[in-house]
Amino acid sequence: MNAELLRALDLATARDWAGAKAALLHVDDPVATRLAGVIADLDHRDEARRRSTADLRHEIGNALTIVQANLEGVIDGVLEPTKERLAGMRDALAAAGAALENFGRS
Amino acid sequence: MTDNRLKRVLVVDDEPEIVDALRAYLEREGFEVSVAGTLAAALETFRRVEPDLMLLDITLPDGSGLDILRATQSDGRRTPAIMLTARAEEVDRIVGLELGADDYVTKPFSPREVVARVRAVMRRAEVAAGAPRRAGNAIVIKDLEVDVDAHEVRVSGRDAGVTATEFRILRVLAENPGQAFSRAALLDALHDDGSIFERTLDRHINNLRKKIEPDPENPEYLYTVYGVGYKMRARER
Repeated sequence: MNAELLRALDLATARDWAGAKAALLHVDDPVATRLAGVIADLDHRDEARRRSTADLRHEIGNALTIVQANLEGVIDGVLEPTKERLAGMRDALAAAGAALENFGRS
Repeated sequence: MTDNRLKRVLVVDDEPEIVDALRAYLEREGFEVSVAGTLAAALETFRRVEPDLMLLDITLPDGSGLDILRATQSDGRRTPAIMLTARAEEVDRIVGLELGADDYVTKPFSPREVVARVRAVMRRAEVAAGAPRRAGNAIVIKDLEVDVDAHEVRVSGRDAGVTATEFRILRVLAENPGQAFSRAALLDALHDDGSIFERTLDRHINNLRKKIEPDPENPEYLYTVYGVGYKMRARER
């Protein structure tokens, strides 16, 4: 196995997908071509995972902010404890729960 | 002169429940609050109200809070901004000053914490703009403190022992750092009843210099403006 292939494997292990692809760019070898395909696929999956984690974080962060800010507001006497406000908090938690459930399925 | 109008805060977030809570807390603290839920509405509101500070959610239905930051900064006016984000991956860009935000708060957050950040960023912006900094009701310029409540002047924390007349003169100058006053204008600003004359004003200034200046011959605070009168040193920018 030549040096470029070993280097590409090391970079892929470190999740440096761009570096791994670059290391294989000028290697004319069937193993290198197959490896480049695997690395491209891993890169794609890694990006999708990062995106869905960020989306989940956004959904849960918003929901928890709605609940925390409104509960604090009611406790501090800044906001009225209305039925609508309670319903808004319940809906925010439900949306966070749904996002979490979808994340587990993806 | 000091700016007594309410400080305006523009809150941009597409979650009405978050906006409501932030608005309630900020209004309780004496801020005038405008809100927007989209990028387009935020830019329109920004032009209309000219806020003193913006609270910007990064993720909006029609764009990003970062776009608002770019658009409002390219107008040549620099409005302090605090970013609100649930996305940890954005924090490095915000903190790295790449985008020019002054601070950030990650979701979930406490509205009390946001109000504290708003105050801190506004204070920094005022200092940077050359406004007199106030600690409690004291005007602070370098090591000099003019404590309006205690009617006392301190240098590096030590009472300078100024007289009532000297205090009045120093207060007017300290409230307007960098602004030159003619002797007549200074007497006018003091609302003087005739007890201070232009020629005795010079003597009061000399006495003040002996009490507050490290070297009265080379003043660090009370400058003579030749042909005009006097001024207090401007705050560092």
